[in-house]
Amino acid sequence: MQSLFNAAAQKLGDANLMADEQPGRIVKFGLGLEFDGFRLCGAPVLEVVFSGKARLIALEVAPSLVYSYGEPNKDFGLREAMIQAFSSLGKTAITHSGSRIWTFLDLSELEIPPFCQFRFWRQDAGQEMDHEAIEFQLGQKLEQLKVTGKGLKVNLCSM
Amino acid sequence: MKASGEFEQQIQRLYALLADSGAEVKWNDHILDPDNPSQLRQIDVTIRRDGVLTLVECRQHKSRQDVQWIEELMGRRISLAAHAVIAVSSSGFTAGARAKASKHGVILRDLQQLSDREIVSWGLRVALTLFIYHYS
Repeated sequence: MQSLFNAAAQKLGDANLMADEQPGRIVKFGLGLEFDGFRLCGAPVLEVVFSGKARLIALEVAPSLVYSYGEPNKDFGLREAMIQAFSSLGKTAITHSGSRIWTFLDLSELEIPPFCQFRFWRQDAGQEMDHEAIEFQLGQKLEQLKVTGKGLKVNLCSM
Repeated sequence: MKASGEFEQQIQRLYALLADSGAEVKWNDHILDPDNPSQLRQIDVTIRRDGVLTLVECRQHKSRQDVQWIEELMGRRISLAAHAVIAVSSSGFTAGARAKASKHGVILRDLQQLSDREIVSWGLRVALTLFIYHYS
């Protein structure tokens, strides 16, 4: 079942059907998968046809706290090191030093409704930022993560 | 800033988007100068969100904005203890202004090219959005 959803998501991604990231957009899909040696109730399953609709849902994560670090007598706005804590998403935090950021994405407690799949995330800033590193925390609810792209240091942690 | 016509409409778009984003937004704000409390400093738009103060200054001129304006904004950010300053111009910036702004962290934007999404994210530092597929 999991591979069926993965295949559907792969197809949607490959076809760039969700490329414009429009939340609420519904895309119809259909695919056939051939299996080799897969049996169900003793009977061989040769092919599965999987079709349906996929809708892109956006979950905005609000930062609950912003910490800044620096000399005590320095104004908040002038301190270079700053941490945005997204406590509604576990220990997720974005650490800033000037225009450089480190992202820790804690997906271990992410509540995903039935028949839903986490696909990607987006970070928006008012200015160009340099991504220094990205780290993920996975858990039982999200055991696998496929990372695509180059040029970033990515650390995967699991519980 | 004197605004008129299309420029004014663009500024109103900017203000409306910011106001809807949940930030505390003030148009034509006046902030006490900490170095000279008897003086108020006029700012086109101030955005306060999560303890972060962002200043937005807008200019409508025929010629591109030069390094002098950028230096004014650098000083303004320091003296008003703002976290960021965004310079919005209807006519672009000179190469010298761009170099100076890049070196000293002044954010430059061309009013015509500003997307709604970017405006909403101002002052947020980094907004985080997760995307999931829901199958039915």
